[in-house]
Amino acid sequence: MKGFEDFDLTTWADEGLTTRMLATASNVFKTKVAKSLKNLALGATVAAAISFGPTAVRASAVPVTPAEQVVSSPAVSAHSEVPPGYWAETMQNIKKMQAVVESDSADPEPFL
Amino acid sequence: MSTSWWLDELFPDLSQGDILEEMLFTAPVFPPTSVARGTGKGGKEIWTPDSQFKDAKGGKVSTLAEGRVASGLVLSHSCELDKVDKKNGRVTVVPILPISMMGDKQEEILNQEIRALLPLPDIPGVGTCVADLRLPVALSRSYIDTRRRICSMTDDARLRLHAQMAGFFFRVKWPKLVESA
Repeated sequence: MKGFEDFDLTTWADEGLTTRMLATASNVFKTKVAKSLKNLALGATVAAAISFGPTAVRASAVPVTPAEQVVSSPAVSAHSEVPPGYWAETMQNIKKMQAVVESDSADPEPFL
Repeated sequence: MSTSWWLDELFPDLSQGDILEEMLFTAPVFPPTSVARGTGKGGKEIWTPDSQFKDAKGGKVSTLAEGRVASGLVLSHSCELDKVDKKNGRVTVVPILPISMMGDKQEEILNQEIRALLPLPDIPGVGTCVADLRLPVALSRSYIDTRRRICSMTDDARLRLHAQMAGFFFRVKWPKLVESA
């Protein structure tokens, strides 16, 4: 089990991936059919409707990147603004900062 | 370190990281439209558009607003919530939406590549959702207290939430990661 800071996507994916994949197997098939249709440039309207429908969206959302990959890969993706390891590093540093003692004095009433 | 996001039982009191059932997330319409409270037939309360914003009691104005109903994630710190006035105080919340509503951005969100959007895995009874840090609203504590609390975050999950807030609001860059980039 990898660190919590990485979202624990492995566990989540392990439990969720299989069941969701099985449950949406037919939807995945529809998606593939839709892509094939698009490739063949046949029935473009129908293909687009299936591709962008709710079932297709769900099917495409299933394969998530495992947690360890999020951290260890050189780049999360070519266009990501968040570097690998960012969340883990941020959590560690915040933990250090939280040692600061806070005042218990009452705050003023909110303006709104 | 814990691997669970959600406690088996709610914290006794409203806390940072709590998930609340559906509530109103609204913003004033544009152009801003003032409304005035009046009384109709049978003493029924009515609100009508007004030509100008007039200060009501306490310097407040009434305006037409629109928005959506969604579940929410509490951002206010638990220490702040302990101190806040139960009637007039405010609680900062952001809306959460099912991941399925995020279209082609779902994979990016689940890969934690978008600072503004925090994935919330497997919320009990709700499923995987996304918290949108771009849309914080300060709702009255009295309204918040009418909402059902669905679940509370573990300590580690709250720390992960803090990281997301720091990443989104401050864009903090850590030297170690900058060097290795």
